[in-house]
Amino acid sequence: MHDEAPLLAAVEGAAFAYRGRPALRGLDLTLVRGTTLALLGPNGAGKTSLIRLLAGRLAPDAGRVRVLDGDPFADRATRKRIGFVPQEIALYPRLTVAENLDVFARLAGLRRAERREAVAAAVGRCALAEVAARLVATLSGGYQRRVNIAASLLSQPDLILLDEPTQGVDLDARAAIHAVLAGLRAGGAGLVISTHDFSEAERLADRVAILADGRIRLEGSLAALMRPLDAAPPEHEAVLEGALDAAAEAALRRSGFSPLPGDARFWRADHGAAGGLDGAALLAALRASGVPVAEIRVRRPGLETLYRDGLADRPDLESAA
Amino acid sequence: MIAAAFRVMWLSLLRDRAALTMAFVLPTVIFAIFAAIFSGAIGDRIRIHLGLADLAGTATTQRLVTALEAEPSLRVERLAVADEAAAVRAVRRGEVDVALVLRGDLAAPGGAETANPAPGQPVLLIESPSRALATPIALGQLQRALNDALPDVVLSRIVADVERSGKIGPDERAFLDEAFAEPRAKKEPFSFTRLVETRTTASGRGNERVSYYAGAIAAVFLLFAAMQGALSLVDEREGGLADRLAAGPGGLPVIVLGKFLFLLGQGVVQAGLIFAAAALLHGVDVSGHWIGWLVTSLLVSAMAAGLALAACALSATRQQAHLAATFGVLLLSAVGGSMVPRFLMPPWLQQAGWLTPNAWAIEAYQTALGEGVSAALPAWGVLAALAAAGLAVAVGVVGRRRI
Repeated sequence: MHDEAPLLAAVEGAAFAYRGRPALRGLDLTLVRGTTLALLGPNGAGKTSLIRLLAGRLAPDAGRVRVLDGDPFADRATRKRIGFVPQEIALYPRLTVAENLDVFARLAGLRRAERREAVAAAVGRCALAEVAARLVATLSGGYQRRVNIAASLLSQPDLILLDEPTQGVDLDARAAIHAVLAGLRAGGAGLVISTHDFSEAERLADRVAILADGRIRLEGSLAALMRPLDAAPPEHEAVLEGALDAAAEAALRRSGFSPLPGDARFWRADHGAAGGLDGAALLAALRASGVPVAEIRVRRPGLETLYRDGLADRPDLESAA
Repeated sequence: MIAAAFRVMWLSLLRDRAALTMAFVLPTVIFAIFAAIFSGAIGDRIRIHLGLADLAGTATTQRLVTALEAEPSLRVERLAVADEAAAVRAVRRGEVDVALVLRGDLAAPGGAETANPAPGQPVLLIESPSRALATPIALGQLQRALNDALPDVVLSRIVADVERSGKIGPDERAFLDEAFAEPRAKKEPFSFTRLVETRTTASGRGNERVSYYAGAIAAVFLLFAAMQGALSLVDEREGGLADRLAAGPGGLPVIVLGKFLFLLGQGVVQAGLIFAAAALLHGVDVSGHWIGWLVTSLLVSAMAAGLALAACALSATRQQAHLAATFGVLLLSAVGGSMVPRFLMPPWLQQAGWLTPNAWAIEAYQTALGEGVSAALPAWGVLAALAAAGLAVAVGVVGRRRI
């Protein structure tokens, strides 16, 4: 469906390896204008490598990356139309916010008048006017993250790549950053956001891609992906506080729980599989069976469910349009 | 874009007072200290502390004591000791650098004619291994004092040797002694004391010995300061800034060029401050050779900037770059003659010094300020080649680095 909108970026069969260690293994992805794509996946899944390919920081070992019909690695003009927000606070700490933005505007090749205009616009879009004259080193983490984003907006990019833009900030700062990103999206830019935060992805993204081992395990529009879950019963998650012996594991499995990938402390069961018991009754039953369970979480299935399923190789969920 | 990278370096330095002091004040202070230490240590103003014990108390030993005390390059201290052992103790305790014990009459062979004949030679030199350099200096000054102030005694001992061989008799010896006494009485110098004429390569317009140290210290500090500045390349890489800069239209090579230009300017200012101090404090003549000085300073700064950027581009971590900045620069400076003049080193180390940028920087300053532009051309060529190679490596490496 999204193919009807103008294409912003296309990744075709992209593979990339760091010193022989594969980071991306033949990856296909498209992004159209005005949409926000959330990249989810465990550490080492290939999210940052994909963002670097799109930013033109790396060239694929195999396959092709096109952004706005240009090669971001080879074309300087194409790179100018891409805004890149690295995971780290990529700013000069001894320069003020305005000076940082001015420097990055110069590096983007803007002339004096354009620079002044671009800096003012970036300060406005990221609500930085009150700290524009302060040294970056003296700002809070939330403000630094906003300056980090502002620095990527100076050449008015059509595509903005954000690598974990809210990492390490408090809830208020996160809300402020979400507001900035929502504004960018409303302005027509395409956004690619790498994140570990499911609620952030649900709130900001139109599309979601779940990566693991350098491949896309699940990709599609958020609405389409979530639709099958609308009618699904709440799910239970058992959080263990000790090691399982064989008898306890058997009891847990009999109750419909299966281990979540990546962390042996977490087991999940959908409501039906858990025998229709409510959380408190389930907790009591499992403890009576010798399972060292600390708590039972009950929640509506969401993106995290899809994420877990995506990593658990659920072919039935792949590529929902 | 290059100007943007330059501006970042400038503002960052300006707002870091410690770095600012390190860059512009410390080199001048260190130069002043080094110049004070080494201009004396390798020049004609060295003054070793000589202990003198005249146990013989003869006319000739008293004449020698007077001559040594009049020698401006010695700080003579009369040792009130009764025997040689006490003089040894004085040297061992470090009360003097070296001691001379005059234990026999200098004119009498073997000292047999003195009141208290001592075994061995009439003069005993007591040295300390920790101040070994004092020994040849003391011996040289002793020989000079004997030639200048006691030539009759020297000749008398030679004649005595000839007499012992039977070639002359007592009458001839008495005649010769009388002949030697005549010019001494008239205070006319013996011809053998005038065998040597000294000529210096110094132009005489300034203190060229200190100019050596100005060049030597400039080379060290320009390398240190360039490494400190170039470390920002590693910081930017480790802090994620390089990702943003590399993704920009100009890429990282533009950033490297901006840093190179900044370090070039910073180096020329540093060299300017060091040579200004040399001119003000020690009379080093820079203004008469300002073109040579400027070209040399530009090339030494470019060499330091290029090599520092290459080292930081090649370093995988900040720790590696930091090691290169400290141990690497110290090693190059030590072997290259920035700390101790290379002529004091063993021959193989003197040759190895030509493999260091410091040696060429010092050579460039020495020749440009002392002998003129044409003499400095080979050193300028080497410095320019090092600068170009360093910059090319830095640009090439950052352009290709993936992480």
